[in-house]
Amino acid sequence: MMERALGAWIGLRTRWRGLALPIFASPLLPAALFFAIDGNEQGVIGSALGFGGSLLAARALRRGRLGDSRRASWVMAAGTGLAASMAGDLGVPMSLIMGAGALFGTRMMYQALPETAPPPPPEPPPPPPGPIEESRARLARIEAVAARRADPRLQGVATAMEGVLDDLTAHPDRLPQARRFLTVHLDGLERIVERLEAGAAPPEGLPVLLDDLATTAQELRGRLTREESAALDIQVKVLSDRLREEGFR
Amino acid sequence: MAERNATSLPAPLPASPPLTTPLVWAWGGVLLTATTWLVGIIALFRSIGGFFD
Repeated sequence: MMERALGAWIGLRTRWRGLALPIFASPLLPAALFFAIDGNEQGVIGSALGFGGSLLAARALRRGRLGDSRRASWVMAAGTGLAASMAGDLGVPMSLIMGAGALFGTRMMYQALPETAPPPPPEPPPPPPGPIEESRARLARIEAVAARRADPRLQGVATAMEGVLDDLTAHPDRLPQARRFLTVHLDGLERIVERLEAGAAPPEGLPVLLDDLATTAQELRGRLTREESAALDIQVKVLSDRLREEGFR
Repeated sequence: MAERNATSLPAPLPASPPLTTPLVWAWGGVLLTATTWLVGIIALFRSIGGFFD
């Protein structure tokens, strides 16, 4: 029975926690006003720091995260100590005592109120798709249209370009040599597909152009392979010469 | 087997705070009254006193 009543009380205090702190510091507000009228700058600053500290502490307590009540009690201690020193003119030892009293007072007053762990940091956004993935997505749209229209030439170009992308996925170091090809071919093919989808009648030159696109895609694959073969050939020659120079052959 | 039994145990309930907790709250309130509120009152009287200097 008593425990249930205490639980309910804790729930009530959790909802209202922190709001009492500015009330404790509220006499500093008219004090700041009177200091300002009197032209006492030090008094105004001290009062403002004391009341501001209570507001900050209340804000921390309202957040209710793990360690917030400890943080709030230190903020309260600093605010009260500064107000005692600057606005109350109580001297350093008495100001320290006031600060310590506020520290323990805040800690005791908000003891046993639940605090939640801070939420985990938000997950970083997924990295943007690389040029190959982006090209593959664009090509997939073209392939879908080609399949819907049952256009063998369009499908042939898409298949040839997919081969290029497969090569680039296996050897991403070749991407700089194929970047321009991808841009020109994919852009052009996309525009053609868009027009066809919009209901345009295919011009006479379109089949030839599509054949050219498929041919250049295959030529690019061949060229990239040839360049790779040439590089390997050079490596073999260099190694053979080295072995001969070193006297191993 | 022991590991399985250990994992199937229910999580321990959070211990309820002692019944003297409201007394601690009250003492905290007293401390804050004797420090923060008192500092405010002292500052208020000083600020009013400034008019009569």
